[in-house]
Order: sequence, then structure tokens, then C-alpha cells
Amino acid sequence: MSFRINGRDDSAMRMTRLFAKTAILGLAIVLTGNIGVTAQAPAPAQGRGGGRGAAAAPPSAPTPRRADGKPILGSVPGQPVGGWGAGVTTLPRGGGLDEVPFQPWARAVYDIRQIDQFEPHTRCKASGVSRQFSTPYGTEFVEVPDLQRMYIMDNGGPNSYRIIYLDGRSFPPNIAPTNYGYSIGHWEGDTLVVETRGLNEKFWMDTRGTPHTAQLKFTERFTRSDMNTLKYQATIDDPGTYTKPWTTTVFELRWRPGDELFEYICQQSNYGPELMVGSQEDVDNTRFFVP
Amino acid sequence: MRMKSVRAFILFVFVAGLAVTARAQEGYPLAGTWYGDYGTGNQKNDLTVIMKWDGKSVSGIVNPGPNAIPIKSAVMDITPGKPAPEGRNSTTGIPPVFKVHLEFNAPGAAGGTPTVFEGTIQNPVAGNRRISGTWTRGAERGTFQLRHL
Repeated sequence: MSFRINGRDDSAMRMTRLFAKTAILGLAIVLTGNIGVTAQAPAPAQGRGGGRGAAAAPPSAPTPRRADGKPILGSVPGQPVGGWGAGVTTLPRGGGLDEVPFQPWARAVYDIRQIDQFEPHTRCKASGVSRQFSTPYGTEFVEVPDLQRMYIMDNGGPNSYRIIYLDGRSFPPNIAPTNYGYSIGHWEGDTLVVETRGLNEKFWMDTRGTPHTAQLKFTERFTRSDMNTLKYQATIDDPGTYTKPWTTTVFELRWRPGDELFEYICQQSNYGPELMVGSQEDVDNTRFFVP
Repeated sequence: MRMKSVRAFILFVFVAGLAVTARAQEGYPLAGTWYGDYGTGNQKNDLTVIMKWDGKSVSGIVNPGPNAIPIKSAVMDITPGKPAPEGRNSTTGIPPVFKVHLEFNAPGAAGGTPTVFEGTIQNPVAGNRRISGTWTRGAERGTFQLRHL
């Protein structure tokens, strides 16, 4: 369709728009490049490859270790406290959704959850296992060797924590199901292997609503391969939901030095999401009050 | 007086047990405790159904208590919907339909009277899901509704 505006024909208008778009695009590229480099600066890390600015980042420091040689999964004594940034929002499966051995009802529930997004976490419900690593404000690992336990604290949502017992105990015979369940861990070389049972059905394992039942046994493998990288892999064994156990692909959490837990109040019926600070990838924690 | 206390205690234990059963049931849509009524016309009768899912089949009872009735058969028949593309706030998907078939023998003649409930689950992934439909027992028929506790 051809038309005129103020005596100028549409081809002239198109040229003007093209010039304007090119100028904006060029400006955006320049700004994005600068932001990319700036964002990398405070958190030097081995890039996953391909990201703008990642190639320029210095190599990460080696895996921090305790005196007994075990990796430190949280903050390092004498260095700034930090936390792990958000991981993936969907439990990763190499071949996609069709490779997850859903029982038919579970696939139907998953499909419905893509339409009706009633995720408990966004309604302030504590959400255990892998869902802890999808909160945009990150998680902090606090190991207390004297108590032989580790706490994984998640910021945002219910602002709660999970306990991982490292004292060699066995699972109690009758565990009252809870959102975080009962987690027992042990070391296999440099990898912390955590099995969690006693989970209830009141939360989603990821933000997409991958379903489970209370029969779930959830096994996680944490490997801090260097200072800034925590590799994470999970095995889902839930005969109530899946025809066989399945294992996610490995995904990585990135270290965010300086990230400290902050006061976060989650209230149901919060209709002000626009008041949240930052985005999933970049959260500004410098303000004392976070609405 | 003592008898009353004992009864009150038994009632408390039952209600507490019911509450524990009712929690933590957001996985398999049929699992959990359901409460509602069934009947014909204006005549309604209370109905409580408790169902468990072991990964392969559903078991449970109707109207728990001394005269609880075991469930003979409880199955879901799911008509797949059209999955939405993964992504927030998708509105293009068509949800699957969850039909329910529930069968038990109502007390009565030898072996009881076969009773069948056929219904549809509304909002099957939510805690406040409901089942409504029709029931038949011999020549009797009517409607029922159950809500998940």
C-alpha cells in the first residue's frame, strides 16, 4: 500500500525510518557491548562460551577447599560472602520434553500447568530441591562442619532454607512430608551427592511445573568445578509420576561474589510485581529495602 | 462423662488424621480427600471419598468410619489437550480433560449394590479442584459433586 504524508511519498519515509532504525540498532549494539563487559567485570568467570565479553574474562580461580581437602560449596573464609545465581527455570533434559518418561496423567498435568500458571513458589510457598536454584535472587550455601550439616538458603519467595545432613545418618522410617523434605548428603570425591525424601506435593520442582508425587526420591549432585562454577545434576525417581527414573543434563550455577541474603518479604496476593528490583539475570541488591 | 471424653478424643484423632491426609496432595489429581454430596433432586446425602495413588492404581474408601466402603475401582480417563508452547502466560493451549470413573458397592443386599460415579475434574492441577457428574445405582440415578479438601 502506498500513501503520502505531508507531501512526502512512502519511499522517502521508508528511507528515513531505515536510517533511524540503523542508528538505533548501532547505538544498541554499542551499549549492549559496554553493558556486557561491565557485567562481566565484577564477576570474573570462565564463560560458557559464546557470550559477549566472556572471552575477555580472566580464568576463574580454582575450587576453594577446606583444610581437609573437601570443596567449599559456599563462601570462602576471608573472602567476600557470595551466593549462587539463578539456574535454569526448567529441569533440563537432553532430548527435550518427549524424553521425560511421564506417566500419561503426569504429562497431562504438565501440559495444563503451561496454561494455568499457579506456581506455588510465586505464592510464597517454600519450594524444594531443584526449584531452590531458580529463584532470581540466588541461593547461599552455608556449611557448618561442627554440626555436620549444610544449609541451602534461598532468597525470594518464602525466604526459607533446607538442611542437608552430612553426619552419615539414615533416613527416618516415617518422614512427615514437607516442602523441603529430608536431605542427606555424602561426598563422592569432589561431588556432594544429596538424596531427598519426604517431599510433599505442595511445590513444583521447576518453574514450568514438572510434576511429582510424595513418592519422589530426588538425588542431586553438586560439583564446584572452579571458584565460579557449581555444576548441578538431578535424578528424579518417582514411580508415582514417571515410568522410570530419569536424570537431567548438567547445568551450571554461577558464583556471585558480594551477594548476601537480604530481607525479603513474600506475601500472598502481592499484586505489585513491578516493584521487584532487577530482573532474573541481574538483581540490584544494593537497596536496603526491597519492596 | 468419661465416655464423652473418649468420643471427643476419637473424633479429634479422626479429624486430625483427615486433615493430614488432606494436605500434600497436588500431584496425582485424584489423590486426597474429597467431600461433597450426591442425591436426586433436592435430596442430598453427604459424601466423603479418600483416594490414594501408588503409582499404578487408585485405592480408597467412601465415607470413612466404622461403615466405610472400599472403592472397587477408581480410574481417570484423560483426553489430551493441545500443549501450549513453553513460555510464560501462554494462552494458546487447550487443557486436557480429566474424566473420572468411580465404583463401589453401597451397603445393602449380599455384596452390596454396585454404584457408579462418572464425572469430570474441574481445574485438576489446583488445590481447590472439584469433580461433578452423575451416579447410578440400579435404577436410581442422580448427580454428585465433590471438592478436594
